[in-house]
Amino acid sequence: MKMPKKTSKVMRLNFFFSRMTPLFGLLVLLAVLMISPEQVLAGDCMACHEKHGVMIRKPSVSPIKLKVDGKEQCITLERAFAFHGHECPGVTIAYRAVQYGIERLSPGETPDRDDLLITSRTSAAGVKDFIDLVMKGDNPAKKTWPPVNMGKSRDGFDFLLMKKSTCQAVEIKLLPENFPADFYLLKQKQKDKTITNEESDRLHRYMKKILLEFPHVPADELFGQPEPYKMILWGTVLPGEQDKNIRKMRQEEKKNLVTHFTPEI
Amino acid sequence: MGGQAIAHSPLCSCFDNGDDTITCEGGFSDGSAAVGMEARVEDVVGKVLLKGEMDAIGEYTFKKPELPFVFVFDAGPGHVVKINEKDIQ
Repeated sequence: MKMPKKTSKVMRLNFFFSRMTPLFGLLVLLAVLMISPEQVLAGDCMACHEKHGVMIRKPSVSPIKLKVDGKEQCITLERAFAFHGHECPGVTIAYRAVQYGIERLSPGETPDRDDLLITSRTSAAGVKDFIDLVMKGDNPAKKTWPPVNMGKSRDGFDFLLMKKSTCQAVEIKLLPENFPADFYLLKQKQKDKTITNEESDRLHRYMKKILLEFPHVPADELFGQPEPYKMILWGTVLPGEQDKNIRKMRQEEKKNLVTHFTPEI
Repeated sequence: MGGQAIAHSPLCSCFDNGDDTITCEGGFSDGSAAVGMEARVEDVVGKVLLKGEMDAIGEYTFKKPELPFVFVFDAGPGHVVKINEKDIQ
């Protein structure tokens, strides 16, 4: 196909695109074929979804209301995902757990953030980020570091919420049957790049289920019906004390790594 | 950008060493250090004052600038943490 000598700019462009479109289509097809399921699912979900044009259904769930410095603040699941950086199962579970815990401790009330204490038995990033957002606000510079050697497991979605003014606590624990037994095994395989295509698909299904279904499952099906109980607290945790201790642990760990490091010859 | 940076959210904290230097520590939510990741010190309008890399233990130490500044831990697109001078402990 020859391009006529005297043509308008529009015609020249049309000619160019008519020649280039099949080539471009072929390149796109090749790029899609070269991406294995392992690569597709290995990284950040958001980046992968954007790349493949996957639209995520935003689950609608009621916001968590708290009084911060005397003003009511609403935390939505969407805001929690944005603070974490992407849709994440850990954020979803922690959101439902904290929301349920607050309902159990302060039914029908908007609690004061300063009246609450929360503990977590997992250092999963989504969980930490969500509780940081609730308890410290949305400054990414204030995100909590994980204590050294604090692992992640399906039994770790266990949160203790305490209300200082009423000396009450409630333990909210995700019922183990609601979390896949091999989730973290598959995550580790994904990290090590040893995950098979079938396992990748399975992990993707798990994540999809948590992200899309957990926001709408009744809380008692996720966590049972734990009753608040009266408790007494002793001891003092000064502002920044925990961060300082976690940093000290990290420094010790780094020293050990440097001491025990044997360079490859 | 390494897989580590993609898979985990970045964390960064800065500490005033009390000798006119600041140490910033970068890492990821799984507790791993941000070895070799880009570190920048910028003024409040984003002009780069200093640029370097996190060292072998994921830290970057620099002389405290005379101007108000922001420390930027850059682990790639969408994985950037900025620490304002006022948040330095």
